[in-house]
Amino acid sequence: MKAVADASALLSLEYMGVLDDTPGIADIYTTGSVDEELNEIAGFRDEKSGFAKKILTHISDGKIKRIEIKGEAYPKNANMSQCLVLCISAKIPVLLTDDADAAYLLGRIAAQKGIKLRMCASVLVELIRAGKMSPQDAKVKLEELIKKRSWEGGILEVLVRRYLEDGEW
Amino acid sequence: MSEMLTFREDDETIKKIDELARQKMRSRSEIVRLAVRDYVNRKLELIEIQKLAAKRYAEGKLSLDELVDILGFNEAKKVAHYKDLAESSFAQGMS
Repeated sequence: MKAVADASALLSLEYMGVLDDTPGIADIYTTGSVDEELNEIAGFRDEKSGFAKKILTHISDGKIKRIEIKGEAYPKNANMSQCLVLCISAKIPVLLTDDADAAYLLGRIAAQKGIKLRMCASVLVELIRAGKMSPQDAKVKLEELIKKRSWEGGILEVLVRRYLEDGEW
Repeated sequence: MSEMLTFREDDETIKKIDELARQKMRSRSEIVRLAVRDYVNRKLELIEIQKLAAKRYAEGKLSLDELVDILGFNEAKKVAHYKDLAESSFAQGMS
């Protein structure tokens, strides 16, 4: 299984402490622009910067593979576009993102190109399927993520309850 | 307790701030303070409404049409897209 991850997805996975486990279920790729974005975040003096530094270590260790997209110029805030181009050019069928706005903007073109957009929750589902995590642990991790990212009272909370608590899983 | 914030603004906006300050007989700082307070409060209220509507839509308690009525077409479409994305992530994993 292969997937490209943007900065929002990588940060979510690191927040939940599952980025270390992810290479066991999928090869994760990212782009130079995501690396740059993470470097920028790592320069701040907040909790997020520590997570960004850990992700950058994973990239420099090669656990997350960084691939440059050559010959393309992108606006600074279009990192997910670059991830999508990587999916298309390297024939990687899944793009992991937790950026709702970017996913909405690029959703149609991704679908046209046969690229599936998935949120970080999909990685936890794969870890459950692989027997590396229980649904209960996944629920706790997603609840922690929801708190950290101030997503309380939103759609993700409803779906965590539906899929990981109420037995739809 | 208060904290001092410093920011830059373009000449045109500064002129407008000064014009409003003259008309309202307030200081430049007061106008900026009121504007920031008003904007932040409105935005936060809007976010709470959006969250509540999105949650009720995800729970199946609001239809897409009702969501459009509350949030407007573009925001409602975005919420619906996000719900589909989240649901497929849970239901299908990465496959």
